[in-house]
Amino acid sequence: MRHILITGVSSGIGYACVEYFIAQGCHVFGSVRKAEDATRLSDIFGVNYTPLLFDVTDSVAILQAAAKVKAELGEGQNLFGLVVNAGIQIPGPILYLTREEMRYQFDVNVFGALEVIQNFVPLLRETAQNKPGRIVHVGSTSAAITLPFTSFYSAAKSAMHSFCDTLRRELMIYGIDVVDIYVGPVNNELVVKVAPYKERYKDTDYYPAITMRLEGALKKNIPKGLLSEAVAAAIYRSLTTPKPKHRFALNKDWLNTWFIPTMLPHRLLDWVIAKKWKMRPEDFEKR
Amino acid sequence: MKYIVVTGASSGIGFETVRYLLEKGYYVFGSVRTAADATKLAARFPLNFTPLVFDLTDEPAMIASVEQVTAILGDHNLSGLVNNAGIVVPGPMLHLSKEKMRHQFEVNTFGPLVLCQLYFPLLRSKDVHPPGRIVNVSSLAAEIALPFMGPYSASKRALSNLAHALRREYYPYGIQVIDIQPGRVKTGIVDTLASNAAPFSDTDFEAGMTRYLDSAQYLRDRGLSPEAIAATIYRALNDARPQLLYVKPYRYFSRWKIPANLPARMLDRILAKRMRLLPEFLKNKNTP
Repeated sequence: MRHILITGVSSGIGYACVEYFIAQGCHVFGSVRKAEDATRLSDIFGVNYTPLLFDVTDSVAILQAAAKVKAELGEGQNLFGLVVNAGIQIPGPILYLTREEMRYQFDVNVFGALEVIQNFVPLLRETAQNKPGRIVHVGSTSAAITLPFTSFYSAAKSAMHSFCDTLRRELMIYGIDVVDIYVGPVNNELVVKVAPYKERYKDTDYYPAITMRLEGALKKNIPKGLLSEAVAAAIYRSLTTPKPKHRFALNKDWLNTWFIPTMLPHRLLDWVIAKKWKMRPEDFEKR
Repeated sequence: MKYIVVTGASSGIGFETVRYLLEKGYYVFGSVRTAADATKLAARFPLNFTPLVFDLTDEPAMIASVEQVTAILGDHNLSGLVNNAGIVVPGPMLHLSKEKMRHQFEVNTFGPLVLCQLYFPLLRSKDVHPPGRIVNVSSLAAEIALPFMGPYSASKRALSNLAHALRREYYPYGIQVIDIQPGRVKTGIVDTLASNAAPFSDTDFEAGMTRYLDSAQYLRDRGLSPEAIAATIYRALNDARPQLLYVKPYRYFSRWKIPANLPARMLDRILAKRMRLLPEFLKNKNTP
């Protein structure tokens, strides 16, 4: 029996992973923040799912969860995989965001993720029967394509890009591999959840640009985005294939959401963005 | 007269940048952390120099520095903000505490970002003066993450990434954001490593950390001169059409082109071998 641990399974990619991995015959430990989510998921998935109740910013709760997983695995069993998925996004123009918000973005997406890795690496290590497990980080194409108003999220994801490189090299000593998947736009409710944020910037120069960017996302990128199931399948492949790629981009609209923005020279992309979202100097002078 | 703010001016790249810019006829504000350093610098640079005292984790002091600069600027604007101050928190990822890692980011990433916010009003164009520029001193480590330098590399990668976001969001205001990635520079930054690394002596990474400290010691007197980076910063502030990224490797091929272009898995093996990170170096094979 393969045991896989996933963080942030109440919805989105995490939820799809639980569903997919159980269908492949695995046993899944999945972390959620609310007790009602734990019962809801247990009711849906039954014995093959073990809920873990922790917030990735809560060191003590992670420690307790690690002890619980260790006890449940028993002697000689290890984790087949650790999927670092839980994350948040704090959108907005840099000028009007605070240091506390930046800190919170990093506490969840970076330091929380690292603390989960630190606590579960002992359970991923090789045992008498099993090979060492693998870590998959659910990254984002935002780490390579930095757009206005999602800067903190991009910065956190590129910090994790670097941490994945370091971890991959340092954990070679235990034979634990680390895969970083750059996930492109996903067709789920995440953007809908954060959409009301724009009202906070009503009185700033950036308001029209933010509105345009959100409308574009809701009308175009999201409906054309990846399905969570497809991401789950790619994560499972990275966990099971003998020689996984250490990093790859996963996109549905490959041309528009990956190839063009990463291939254009930066200055040209600056200009395209400014023109598209009316952020040229002459647009701002009018306001 | 043009006015520039340089952070981390007490030593290394910051100190040389202050000296270089003063020579070129700028008025320079240099930030240091202690009042003693401020007096020392003020004595060393009697003309056209004002020391600012703040730590990048201390927001009230940073805000106070803006007021101090505003008072001296008069009807000028600020021609440049050079985010240079930084620290290194070394160690194996598995054994570094959250507090240490957060401190690395507070100084190298969050602090510079807050300065970009606080100094934004001063950098905007004013009357005949064109908008100022932001120059962030990142590191080649942002591109090539080395073992036992995890938090440093990631904090610099986040800073380099923020430069793209800042450049695009400040674009309508005409404020350019320029990223500089130096390789190894001869500064005192390695002197703090050994004492920071001591707590990891009884982990599986002991042999690797020893190797790492040896190589840091070897590099102590090698590397680019801080003046070379000061000259690059000057170019970034002055060129009519500056590049958005200036890469200054210590050794063009061996420390930049080759590692950056090798297949990642191959570089992994080379680094792991050198840093004693291959499975055969594991002494205690039993899982805890």
